[in-house]
Amino acid sequence: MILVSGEGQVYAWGLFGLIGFPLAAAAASFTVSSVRGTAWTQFGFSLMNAVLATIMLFNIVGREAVSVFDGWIRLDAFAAYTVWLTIVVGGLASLHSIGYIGRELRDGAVTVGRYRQYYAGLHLFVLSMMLIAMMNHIGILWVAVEATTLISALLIAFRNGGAALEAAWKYLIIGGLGIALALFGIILLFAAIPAESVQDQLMWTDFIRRASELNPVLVKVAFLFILVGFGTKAGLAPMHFWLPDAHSQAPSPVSALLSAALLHTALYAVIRIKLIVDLVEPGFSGGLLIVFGLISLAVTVPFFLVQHDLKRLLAYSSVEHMGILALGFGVGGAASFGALLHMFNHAMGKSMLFFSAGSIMQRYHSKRMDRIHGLLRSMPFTGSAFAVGAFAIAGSPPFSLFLSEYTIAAAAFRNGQWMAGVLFLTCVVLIFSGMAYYIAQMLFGSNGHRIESRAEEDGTKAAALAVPLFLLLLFGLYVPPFFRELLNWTIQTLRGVPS
Amino acid sequence: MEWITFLLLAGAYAVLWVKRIRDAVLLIGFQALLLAVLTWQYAWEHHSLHLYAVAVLIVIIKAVVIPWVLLYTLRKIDVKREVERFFSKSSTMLAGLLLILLAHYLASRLEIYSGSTAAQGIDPLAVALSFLLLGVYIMIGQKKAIMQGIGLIVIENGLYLTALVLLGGLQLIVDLGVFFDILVSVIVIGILSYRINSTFESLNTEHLEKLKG
Repeated sequence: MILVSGEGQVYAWGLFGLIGFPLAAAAASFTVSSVRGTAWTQFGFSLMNAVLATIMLFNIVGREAVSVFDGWIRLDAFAAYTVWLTIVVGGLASLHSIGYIGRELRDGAVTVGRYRQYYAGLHLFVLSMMLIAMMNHIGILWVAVEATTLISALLIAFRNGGAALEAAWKYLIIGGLGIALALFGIILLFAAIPAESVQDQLMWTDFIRRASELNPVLVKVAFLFILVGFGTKAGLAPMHFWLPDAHSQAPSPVSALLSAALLHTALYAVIRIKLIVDLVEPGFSGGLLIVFGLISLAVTVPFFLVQHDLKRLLAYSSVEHMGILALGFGVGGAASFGALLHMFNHAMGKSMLFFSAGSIMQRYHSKRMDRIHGLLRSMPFTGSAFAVGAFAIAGSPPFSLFLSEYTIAAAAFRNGQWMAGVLFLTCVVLIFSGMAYYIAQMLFGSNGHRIESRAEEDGTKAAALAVPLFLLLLFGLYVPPFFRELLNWTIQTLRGVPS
Repeated sequence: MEWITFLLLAGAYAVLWVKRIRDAVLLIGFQALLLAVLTWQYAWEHHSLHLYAVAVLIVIIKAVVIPWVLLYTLRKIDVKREVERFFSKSSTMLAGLLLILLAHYLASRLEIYSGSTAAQGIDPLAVALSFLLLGVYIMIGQKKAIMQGIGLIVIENGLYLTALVLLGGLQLIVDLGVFFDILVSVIVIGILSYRINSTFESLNTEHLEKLKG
């Protein structure tokens, strides 16, 4: 067994670090004796992992993929980018949790034992999501996706009430059914390799290399099952039913992880397999992704316009953005660049919104939007961050989501997909107006003197908002050249050429 | 091997028929034993060490540990009213038959190599697809939370059977991963069923319809 292969040996060891830090953080959640110490130790490990992931990411540009364990674990640019995004969102969630779950502990809503379980679960969840992107073997990739369901179902049920249990149960059953379909698709994909050579390793790279030998009918049927299966986890309509419940019932940092990391890694799994299908049957998978993307956008609009619950509003917005991503990857070409950039933008914007929603709920003791008024007065910093996040996620300039959505729409029109482009823009405009209406309602007005404008939120919560806020503003005005280079390098991977 | 595939099919169909959840769990264990025998047979034919190992693992995990976890949960919950269906028993059984017919039709349409037994009567791929469809039907047609979990396990058994007849099993490490996931998901199903039962004083999923829109 070749433990480490690929050009950069050092980076292969870095790969072990990426896996090791979340494990260490999960272990520390149980072993560090003081409550404050637990919170800061687990954040320390996330911070170190974020730094390591960033170093790895910027060194992978222009290199061949790094792989370990005989190529079972493999990091090319697309995988590295997805892993990096997951780790960054995970790190922000771990930082925000210090204030959020710490307050739940002080309020007596959770016990010390549950508090420790929460942190352990949080980091194992991050680890399972990272593993999705790291796995070269499609069977193990499936195992990782299933693992995310199991860990996050318990996190969603963290608050014991009936609604949380309902959300977790629906998620477990619908998600379980979804990935069962995906496994069926994966078995069909394995069966598409000519029978005499099934002994092969069945890595993703093997499939790419031997695309011409695959049985095209089976590959197409397999992709349908995989798209519906992993698409369920990615929150693509019409398989999104678990999503608003799970996102609204989970503790806010977990909601942020579900929306800003889990959905992306599930979509990553679809795109990985799409790259095999593209070599066998060009255009087939792209068309399907466009259809599912447009359905997701269209389904969001009515739910968006009649929503009362703040976190459900944000959840439907995630369905919308997964639709935009599916559309972008489906159109391909320049739209892929837009989609990759959009992944980053959505991850930053949505985690910021879920974090601030968590703080708002803790202050107002409600997630009904008609009970939340005068945010700007009662919570100046969180309220402003919330406003910026909301306008950014709705796609208004000058934020970077405008840029990525514009890139996707322009590419659709240039490719002659007029219908897709027009539908896309129509839905985005409708959703924008819905969002603007609710936000204005919450930001201004009097809060009825029920909520005193106390001192600002505690530092960790504010810091977890400030980082994505800064990045959203920066990337809206100008995408740094190294990031551009990184995305272009990632697009090379998306052409299906194993580097 | 004809009789094993037949018994597997009958075992999956019987889950629709049982009165007590406990019997459904025992049927799941019985299915696992049959799958282990079938795997042993394949291992014998193909001289595959890894399939022998998988057969042993199936007995341990799917025929012993998983039923034990479910029976333990049932004992702790102390279910009063047993299996409850959304449809009458006769229409449930009829729908089950139709699903099995549909599975045979789909298997014949898929036109893929599915072992030598395909020509001689019961097509194992058709049985595998029947498992998938019956599993989904159990998840939809049953009111008790834990029965939905059992539907999920029936689906997983069907997936395992599909992989066995189409590919001669997945690779050992993949099988290990899948088994581990199934084991953990059964434990999570147990934990959540227990908590649902203690919150609502019932395992009935009709209580789980508050979240809408």
